[in-house]
Amino acid sequence: MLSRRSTLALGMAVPGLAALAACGPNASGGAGSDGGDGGDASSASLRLAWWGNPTRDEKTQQVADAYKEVEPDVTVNLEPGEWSGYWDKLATQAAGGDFPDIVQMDEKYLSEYAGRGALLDLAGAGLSTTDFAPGSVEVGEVEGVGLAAINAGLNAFCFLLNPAVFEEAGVDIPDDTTWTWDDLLETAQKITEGTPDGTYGMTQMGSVQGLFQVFVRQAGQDQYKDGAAGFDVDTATKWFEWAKEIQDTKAGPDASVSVEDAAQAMDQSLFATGKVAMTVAWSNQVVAHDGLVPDGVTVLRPPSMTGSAADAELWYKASMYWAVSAKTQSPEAAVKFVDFLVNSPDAGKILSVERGVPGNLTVREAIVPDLDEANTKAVDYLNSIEQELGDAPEITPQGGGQFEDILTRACEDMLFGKLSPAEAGQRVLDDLAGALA
Amino acid sequence: MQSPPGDRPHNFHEGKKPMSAVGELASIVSSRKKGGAKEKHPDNKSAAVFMTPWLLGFLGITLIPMIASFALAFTDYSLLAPPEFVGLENIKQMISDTRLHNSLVVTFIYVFVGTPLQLIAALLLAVLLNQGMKGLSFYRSIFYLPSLLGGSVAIAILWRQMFGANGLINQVAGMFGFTDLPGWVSNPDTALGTIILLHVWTFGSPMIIFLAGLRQIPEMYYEAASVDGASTMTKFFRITIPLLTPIIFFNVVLQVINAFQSFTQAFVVSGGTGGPSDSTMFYTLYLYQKGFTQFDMGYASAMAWLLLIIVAFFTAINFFVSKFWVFYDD
Repeated sequence: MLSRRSTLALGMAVPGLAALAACGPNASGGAGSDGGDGGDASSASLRLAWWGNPTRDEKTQQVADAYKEVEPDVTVNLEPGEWSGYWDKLATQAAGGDFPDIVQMDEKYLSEYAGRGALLDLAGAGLSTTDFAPGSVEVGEVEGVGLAAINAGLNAFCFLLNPAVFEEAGVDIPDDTTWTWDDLLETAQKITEGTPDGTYGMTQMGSVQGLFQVFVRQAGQDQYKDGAAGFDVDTATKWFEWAKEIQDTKAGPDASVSVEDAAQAMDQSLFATGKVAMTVAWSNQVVAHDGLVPDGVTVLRPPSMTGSAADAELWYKASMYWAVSAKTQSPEAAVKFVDFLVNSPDAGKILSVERGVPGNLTVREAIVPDLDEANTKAVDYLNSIEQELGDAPEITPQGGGQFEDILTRACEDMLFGKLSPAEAGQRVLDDLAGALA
Repeated sequence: MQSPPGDRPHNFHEGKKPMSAVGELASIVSSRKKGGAKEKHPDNKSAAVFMTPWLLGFLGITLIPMIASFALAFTDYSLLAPPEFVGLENIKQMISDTRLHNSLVVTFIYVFVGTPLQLIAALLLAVLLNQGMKGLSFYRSIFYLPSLLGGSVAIAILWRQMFGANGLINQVAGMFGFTDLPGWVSNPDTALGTIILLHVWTFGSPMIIFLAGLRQIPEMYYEAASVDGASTMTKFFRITIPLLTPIIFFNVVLQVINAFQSFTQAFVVSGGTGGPSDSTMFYTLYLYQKGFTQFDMGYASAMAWLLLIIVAFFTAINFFVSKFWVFYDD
């Protein structure tokens, strides 16, 4: 007969043990890999993590389902996310030994992860890259590791315009082969004036790293040179002066509104809600943006300093990469899946150009005829700038991933009046030097 | 008078011939073994059993990580590679890190403005609820509710929306004619204020404790004061507050310690950036960024120990100063 004391002890121990079990890493989060049987490629459970948007999430789900038909014994567990939390999560997972098997990787963080041994050498693991366009594989190579990540799509920086807002303001769409940075400001100003309060011509672009890179390249410099900052304080100052003008001339919204806009999800942004006529993005985001505005978007080149498209100094970037964890339980299965993602025309047809134009030329040829209007806009844009490209930029060195943050903070401080453009320019350089050290 | 029970061991040897001390002890033990309710030994065993879960948790989740964190504070640890010993580098860096100093300023403002406001709100409401009214328990639960939810991510997200440029607050203000108000969370002058407001809103816990404290004040003091012609204000400042000082002290210590460790609200309301312009960069948020987004966990560990020292320092000050203003009945 259990005494009251023992009943009490038992009653506390059982739920206590259950709670302990639930707290373990293999909890009901659905993300635990319960396969874990070594490097067996025929039966495994893989975790795939990426950042994106609803369109991308859907397509990735479809690819995972398609892969189930190719390899029925391999389960792909999906871990979608947003850009703004992705890197924190990934770093935490890396520290906790919980790194997903396959991750979507960005050029900014490639050196961070690869340089610290977190990524597998794909070429060494047998990934085939023979059909890739020249130059598109090398951007994933990191010294000491090999092919740390494979190019998941090409893109280039572009301007996205909402023709509906232009019409509302009664302003013509500018000619992107001849416009300058001042023309951009003027056009935006006219739109702000021609539309009701709360609608602007452009977003506050002062904190956008991609456009900053276009700007410094047009000034004859680049983002990075030999592992250090490639631009000087004068160029940075001119950039911030231009950003200040956006605010001062009311071509774009004031600092508060921009700060809030930056924190919104894509479909809540000023552009998606028709409150802004022009924004900037990487060309692979054309598809997602196109779906947000009623009449689709118009894709334009960034302005040039001289008024000639040939001087725009654009470049092809790997929009993102696929990388495999160096510590994955099933490297063969993971590499096979990555092979499916980048080399299979079926996967290519599903993913289309949402992550960028495929580097694998065979896949690219297979999908171009089926592209819908939105996707064709992106591909056409890439093709149209092919002859005007400048030199390929250096890969972001370790520590450079913080630059987006550094630029945003300096820009915000400047816009809120705490710093002058010159001080902001100097601070950006100092902070970047500190981060790269 | 009878001595209180348990004061002296049961004297089995009353009236029997005296023995040596050891002999006495042996016979007490043996008689206890024979007849007495076997309290001592089984108590130890079940005590140990009950303590095990907590002990495991304490070792695994608190003590060992603390020691590891202390060790890591002297290393360069990037999370992806094993830590490298660098001695006092992190500390030197902390001395010259202006963003760290700024985060300390932000945190101090939050603690030393937010905590008094929160406690004042808690006290006022506790006094109000102490009047006794119909539906008292209902009101008590309602006022406690924000404190349950307030630390959560969902409420913080809601807060950010409410205080945005087109959020609820501005829309309601618009109805009263105050159009064109700035976004409160996106303006560096007011962003910290919104987080302080959120902190003040979660006054439930201190309020319940104040309520309990108020209940302990004997009615007779108030009655005597009324007889002497004291006004409500006088009663409040001359009776309630002095007799509540132990509770106030308790709440101050606890809330200051908690406030220094605030993270969720700052993280969510600023979107993880500590912005705009680092105006909501709490110390813990900066620590998180350093450790997890900038791959500098060694520095973050050093920061964590600095926070421990700061909190310990202010708690010690609190205790020291309490001698001068806390009045204990006994």
